[in-house]
Amino acid sequence: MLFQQVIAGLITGSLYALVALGLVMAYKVTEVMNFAYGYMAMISAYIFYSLFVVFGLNYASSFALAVLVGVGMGYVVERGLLRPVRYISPTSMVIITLGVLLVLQGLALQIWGNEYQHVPNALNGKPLIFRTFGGIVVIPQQSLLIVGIVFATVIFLFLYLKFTYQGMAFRATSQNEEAAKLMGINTNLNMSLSWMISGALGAAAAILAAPQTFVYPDMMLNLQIMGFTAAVLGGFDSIPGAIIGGVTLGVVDNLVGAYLSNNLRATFSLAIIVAILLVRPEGIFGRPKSRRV
Amino acid sequence: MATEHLLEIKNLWVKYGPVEAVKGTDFWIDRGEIVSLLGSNGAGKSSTLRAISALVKSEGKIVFNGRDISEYPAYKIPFLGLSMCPEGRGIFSDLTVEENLALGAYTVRRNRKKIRENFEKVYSLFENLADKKSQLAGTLSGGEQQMLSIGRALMSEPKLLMLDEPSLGLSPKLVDMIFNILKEINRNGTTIFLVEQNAAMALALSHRLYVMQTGKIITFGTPKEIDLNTLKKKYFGGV
Repeated sequence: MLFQQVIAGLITGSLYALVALGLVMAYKVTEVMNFAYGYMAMISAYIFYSLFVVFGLNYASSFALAVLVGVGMGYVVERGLLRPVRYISPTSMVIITLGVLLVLQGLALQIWGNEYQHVPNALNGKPLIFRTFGGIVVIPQQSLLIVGIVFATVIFLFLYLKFTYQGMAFRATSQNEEAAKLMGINTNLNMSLSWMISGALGAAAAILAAPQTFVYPDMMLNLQIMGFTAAVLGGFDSIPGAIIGGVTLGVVDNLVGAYLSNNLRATFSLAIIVAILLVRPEGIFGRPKSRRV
Repeated sequence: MATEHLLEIKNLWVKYGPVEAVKGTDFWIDRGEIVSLLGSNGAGKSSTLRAISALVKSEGKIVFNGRDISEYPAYKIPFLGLSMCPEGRGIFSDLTVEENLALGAYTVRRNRKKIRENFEKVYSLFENLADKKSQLAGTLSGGEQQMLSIGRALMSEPKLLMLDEPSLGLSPKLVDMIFNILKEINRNGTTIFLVEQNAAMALALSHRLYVMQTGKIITFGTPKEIDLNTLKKKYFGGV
């Protein structure tokens, strides 16, 4: 029972990690908390639903096109709405993301209505079943797909950021925008890129979560809260922190649901945020920011 | 073409809202020179440097190597051969020494051979850095961070190296060392433009000096033409 819950937690946690990773990618470079993140992802989920379920396009093409929409939304929001006020009012940027949230929610209601739309799993084959010291563990193929995609994404991002010139330029921009410009790095491009990657990660998370959550305008609300919690837990400017935070939260969340009460899951996540902010505001892997005085 | 200046500034203005930091400044720098811009706090020295690098908006004409760069965005300027070590060093603290230097070569990143050669040049110039390649830049001492900042700027083989207060916060011994290295860099063919408050060191190092006060160049000349004591009394409040 316990082992099954831990495995289930790891799977849920990998989805939280993907959401948290998207939030952190955008925040690291532009220092903007994107409150519209889940709703941008929801639009991608609807695009996926329309292509895959309504128009009958194959899963991979529908997935790729919906993720591309996520990329495009990330670019449009950063380039069109946030950048014009970037050096004028950082607070306005956060308010803009709240505005985007409301617009996208209204847009989804207008286009698709508020009914729950069902999206089938990509993989419906025989689940992986194995016996362990605590009993029998069952892992559906869809869950393996989720973990596989998250794992591949994390590996790709790690290699990109660590070993390519563009990745290094990306990290440099997130640390010191002015110095990065002095190196010849197009920091504006990196800012757009961070939001495009964030949009892609959110879209992927929403599509992968859709068979469980169904597709509706507020489908990503819980996932966004969990992703936010995971990012705070790990440290909002830390990519490894987002991943570890997500996975840890997933396991804790499942254990609370299994052994305490399902109703306490969200409460517990919020309690974690408050506790971390009180004890270690920069998160477990985050670095405290020093300012010149 | 051979007689044209490497950098020529005409009627440069920098404004921060209603505050005029630089007020119609004109000056030039020739190839192979070490030129210093002196002045007290708030004279407009750093704003001048930041305007040349396009880190702040400015009005006026900035011509570098025969090209008008007044409207260039900041990130395109290093590609022309103009590097800057900003005030406060501007290193990437969470990146290693080697990653910082590699980013200095961002403009020549496709030329692997050149990058390797420049790594060797920088490490021979700053031996301390060679021993700390894998160390995070933020953990280096102040002097080492300044070396890293200069070394990083050299990685792109600039025609003009601009430095904003390289002696700030360093011990006299380290300042001597940094200034000797700057001389060597200049001997190897790089033109240097230095913004400094350390007038004595700037006089000892430079071929020519400009003195700035309240946003305007008020005097210029060679170290022989500019007397240090007069300079201190007149422009630095007798410090």
